[in-house]
Amino acid sequence: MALLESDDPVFQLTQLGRRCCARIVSIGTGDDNTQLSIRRLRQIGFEEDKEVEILHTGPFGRDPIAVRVDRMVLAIRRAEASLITVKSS
Amino acid sequence: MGVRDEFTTDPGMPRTLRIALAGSPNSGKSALFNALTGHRQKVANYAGVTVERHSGQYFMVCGRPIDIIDLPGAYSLDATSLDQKVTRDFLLGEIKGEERPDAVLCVVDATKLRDNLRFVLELKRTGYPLVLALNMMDLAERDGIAIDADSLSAELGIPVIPTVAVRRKGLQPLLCFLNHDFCDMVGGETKAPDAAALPQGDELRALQQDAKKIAKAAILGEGRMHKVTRVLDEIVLNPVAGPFILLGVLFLMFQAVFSWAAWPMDMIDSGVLSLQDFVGTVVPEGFMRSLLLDGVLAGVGSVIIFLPQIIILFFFIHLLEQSGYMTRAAFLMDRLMSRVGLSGHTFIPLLSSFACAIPGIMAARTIDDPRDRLTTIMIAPLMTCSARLPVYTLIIAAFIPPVTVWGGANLQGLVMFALYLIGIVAALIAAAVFNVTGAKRGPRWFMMELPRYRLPVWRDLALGLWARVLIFLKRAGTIILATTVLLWGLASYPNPPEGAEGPDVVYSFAGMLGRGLEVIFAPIGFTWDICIALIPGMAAREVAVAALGTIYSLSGNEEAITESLATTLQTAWSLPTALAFLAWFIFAPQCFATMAVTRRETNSWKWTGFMAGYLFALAYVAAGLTYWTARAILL
Repeated sequence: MALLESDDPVFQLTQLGRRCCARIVSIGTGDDNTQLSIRRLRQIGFEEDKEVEILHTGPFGRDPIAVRVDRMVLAIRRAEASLITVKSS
Repeated sequence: MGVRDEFTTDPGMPRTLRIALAGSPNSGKSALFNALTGHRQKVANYAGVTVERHSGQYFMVCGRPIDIIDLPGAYSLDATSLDQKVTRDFLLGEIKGEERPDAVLCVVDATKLRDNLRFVLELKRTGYPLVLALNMMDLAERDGIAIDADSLSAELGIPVIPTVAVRRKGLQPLLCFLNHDFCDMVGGETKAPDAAALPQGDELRALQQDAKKIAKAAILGEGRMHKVTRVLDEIVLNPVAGPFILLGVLFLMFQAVFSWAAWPMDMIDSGVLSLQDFVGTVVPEGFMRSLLLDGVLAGVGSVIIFLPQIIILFFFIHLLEQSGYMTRAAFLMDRLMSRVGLSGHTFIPLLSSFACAIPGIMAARTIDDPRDRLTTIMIAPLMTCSARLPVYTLIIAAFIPPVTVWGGANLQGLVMFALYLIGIVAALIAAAVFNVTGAKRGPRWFMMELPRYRLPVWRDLALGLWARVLIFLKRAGTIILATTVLLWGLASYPNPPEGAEGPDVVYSFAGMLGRGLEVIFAPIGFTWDICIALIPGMAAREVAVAALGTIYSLSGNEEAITESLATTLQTAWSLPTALAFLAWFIFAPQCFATMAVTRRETNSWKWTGFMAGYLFALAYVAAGLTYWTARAILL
């Protein structure tokens, strides 16, 4: 990965390519409908500033995705992944 | 920290200490629990909920016992699932009938220490004396992760003990700690933690920051990801190869159930036969001989024979779970399951249901979404459980010729495969219907850790299988024995009148009962003997075969007893009837045990009744359709 400026553009985790690394900027927008999903994401190990990498995508419709978060590999659906904002690291 | 217990009340008999084991799923918590308690374990349920409570005892060198409670796996005390809620409530002392622990032993996978530190900090907030077991240290070292246990201990302010739970030697430091320093830190009266003291929301994020600082100080080398897991996942989760590998694994599993089991089944069969011969020569003609031969041996014998198949099926399911492949299967299946409104989470309970619906329905606890959970419970009985195998095997052997079709495929095998497939398809359709007709639902999710692959620990596997064997034999010795003996009684008395025509059983109580039920079942092609077999079949499905065994050894002459049941049925039933019977058993109203566990898990008579009702209706319609279609084609 090339070194980028600190004010790099941020994008959704779903837009991250396979085998690419990024760093989590924020999780969720605070919208009421997604509160529970955000809570679950945080419980299982998604946190700001952690490094993520897309390892695998599901065989049907590339859903769900397997994400490496630090040393854990977590499977989540694209719907939840879209709540996570990342920037290139 | 607790005050030192001076044992002032009775120095000779100090009270038993209690340790709660806490940790995330896949941390090796259960392996540590097994290693500490060995066979001194008890599995029960927590009061009021259906989460399994595993407890056991460890004896200190001085002979003092320590009660150890293995809490359900949790990533956080901020509970959103039933399992996590039990862990939280246990620690808060809010579960009725549960004493608070004297200390908490937190088990953490050392290779994922960084990700688990927040949970350790959450546990620290509870105020209990806390000890951290850094488990899987051998794997961490192999991956090149360097952890400074001393500075970790200093940062956290708690004892940190490296362990390797799956190896005897790897437990030494922990045992040493339990026998020496442990008593110094516990024994005082523990205070129930205040629920408000547990971090939530923004506080959790603050804890996350603390965890990060501690990780920075204690983790000296990051190491690499587990290489084997990475490489295996590249293959197993490959979008093209992955689904085929899964299909292959499932195919191998069911193939093994039939081919590997053949030899031990023959052994059991001939064993029962020679036992019958022996009893026939030793016990004089009369009541006892009939009871032993026709009641006990014919009935129980025809069920025991399926033990090998059940062992092999459970062997594979335990193996897939222990190795870590089961979660990959869930990953691959999630999208397809979501089409009918379910998630990959439901794949595991449904696969377990192929062994038995009861563990399947209980495994549904791990599904967070209450509606997904309910749907999974409702469709679990449609997965062909091992208890239905005896019925399928018997009817197929009797009515389907063992011919080879389509270049090498065995017709009997194909029919068996079709029966499984129909069950699966019916389950998916039922789920889709429930999904459409159910109330509007919020967003659904699928979140799951894909743990590293592990070689199965053969001792744990053997212990698990042994437990299954015991449960099965206990059933054979109790429910099945009792029902077959009862049925034998019903089928033997009263004796037929002088000069009566046909088999004796027609004139017995069972015969009368069968005739009564025939009114309902005759339209779908069931004969009176099937009607009799259906009643004990409700107690446990495999008893239906035992019942047929009992009925037919009674309804013929002496030769019929030694003749195999399959040959007997060939002459007694028409092909349409046999096929209708098979169709019935795909959907068959489940056994009482399944109903009982459904009632317990859903906590609702309404849903239990609904399940029985819709399965009964499906079974009746399917059997009827099969019967009439087969008749139209064959006659």
